[in-house]
Amino acid sequence: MIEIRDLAFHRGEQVIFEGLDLHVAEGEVLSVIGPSGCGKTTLLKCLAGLDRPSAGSIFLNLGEDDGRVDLAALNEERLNEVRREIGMVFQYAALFDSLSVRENVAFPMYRFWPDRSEAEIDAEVRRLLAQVGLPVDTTIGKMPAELSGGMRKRVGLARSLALQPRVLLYDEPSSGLDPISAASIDRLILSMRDQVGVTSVVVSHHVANVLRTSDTVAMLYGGGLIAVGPPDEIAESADERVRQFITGSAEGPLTDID
Amino acid sequence: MSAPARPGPVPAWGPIGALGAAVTASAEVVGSCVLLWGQTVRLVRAGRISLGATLRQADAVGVGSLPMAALTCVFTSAVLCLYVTDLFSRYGFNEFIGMLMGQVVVREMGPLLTAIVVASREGSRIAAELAAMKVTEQLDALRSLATDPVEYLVVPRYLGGLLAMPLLSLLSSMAGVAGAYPVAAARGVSSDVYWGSVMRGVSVSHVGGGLVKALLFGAIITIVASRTGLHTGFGAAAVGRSVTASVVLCILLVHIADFGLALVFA
Repeated sequence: MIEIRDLAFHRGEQVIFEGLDLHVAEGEVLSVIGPSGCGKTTLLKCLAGLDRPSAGSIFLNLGEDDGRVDLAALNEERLNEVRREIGMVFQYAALFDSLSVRENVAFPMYRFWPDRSEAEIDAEVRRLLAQVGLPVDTTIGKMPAELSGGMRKRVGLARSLALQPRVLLYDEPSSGLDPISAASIDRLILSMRDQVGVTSVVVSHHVANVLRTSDTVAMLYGGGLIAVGPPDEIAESADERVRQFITGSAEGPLTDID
Repeated sequence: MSAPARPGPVPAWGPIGALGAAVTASAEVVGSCVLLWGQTVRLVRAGRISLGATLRQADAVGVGSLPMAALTCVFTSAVLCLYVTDLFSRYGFNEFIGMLMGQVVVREMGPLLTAIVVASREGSRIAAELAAMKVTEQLDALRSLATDPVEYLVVPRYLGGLLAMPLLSLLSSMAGVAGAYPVAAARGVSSDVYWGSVMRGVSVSHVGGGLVKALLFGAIITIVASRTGLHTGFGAAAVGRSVTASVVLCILLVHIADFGLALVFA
């Protein structure tokens, strides 16, 4: 579904990462872990077409009709066409403050489905809010400022699902949430995979959540991928840097990260 | 043995270097404003306009700023009239007071004071709104939903400013000329003399010149404020810096444009 080849991102003189090679199969959940500032979110924004990589390719398989496209080589106009296949859930949800929950979720529908009636859009918004586990009637009319962190993330997820994307990108889905809300978000990630068949890339530094929800885990550190594999393999990794990150120890080769 | 000396910072060039850096930075900002202006005009010409959003912005700029802009014009015109009446009545030029007030307020003070009020009130609002959207990733969210932030956010603000500013400037100028009258009347200038002088002194070209100025100021304020908001850095402090930079740059560019237009119209 997604194939990353020799991907590099430089910010001025600074190398954020380079030489990244990754493959995400259709319907798979790939989680990218790593310490703060290692380039996880930048990688996610490259996958969403929001940041343009300095070198390399990101191939996305859009099915039989549209074939395979290289996100890194598309112009903004073509990227906009491809973006409807990619949903992104932002770290703090990034809901539009001036719009209600209904208007936030309906936003992409108005853009891409101009022929649909208000009743059809309303029904779709209600279906999506129910799908992400929100009480529809009490939530739909609220403004983002009236919602808790967990509810905002669910609304953000509903908005990103609006156009039925093939790929979902999650930026720190558990951050700022209590353990129960974080576990519900994990369950949602898995239900998107199992029920909708969506391919997911999750960026997180919450190791327990990642090991629980992923099919594959990749660890980014020092500008490159130092480990890629199934969660149990990563959990038992012999690499000291991976082990330190997994155990959350203050002692070890990663202590000078910040 | 002492450690080898680490290379120090590049030597500064003193005041000349600082001036050069400031000029370069200013040119970069103005250049990006011109690019944003061009991008906005292209979208407008392509018909990528939301009428509802444009009218909401026009309402915010026009109706929202009218009381403050009108009051500013009234009081500034009243003060000016006070000095002018004292001077002119000393030499028996009472019949020219209305003419002078009309021309100065309609051609110059009305559009300029209105622009300063709008730059402070609406320029800061636009910059703060867009800057807050930038730091909370709402601009990225827009792009991820295949929506161009310039089309969705800048075009309505730009068109709203263009729609509202001429009308706002005209109403504020009228309030200014009217606000000067009680001062002139208190100094013995009759209603007939004052208003007759205003009607003789203010021509259609003066009103048109004021409207052209207001239109240009509206474009400058909305584009500069939008550009400053869209280019905000990270964190809450960056939002504050953007708002300050927006107001300062808007007022500065409005004054420069005003001088340029004054030379043209003169």
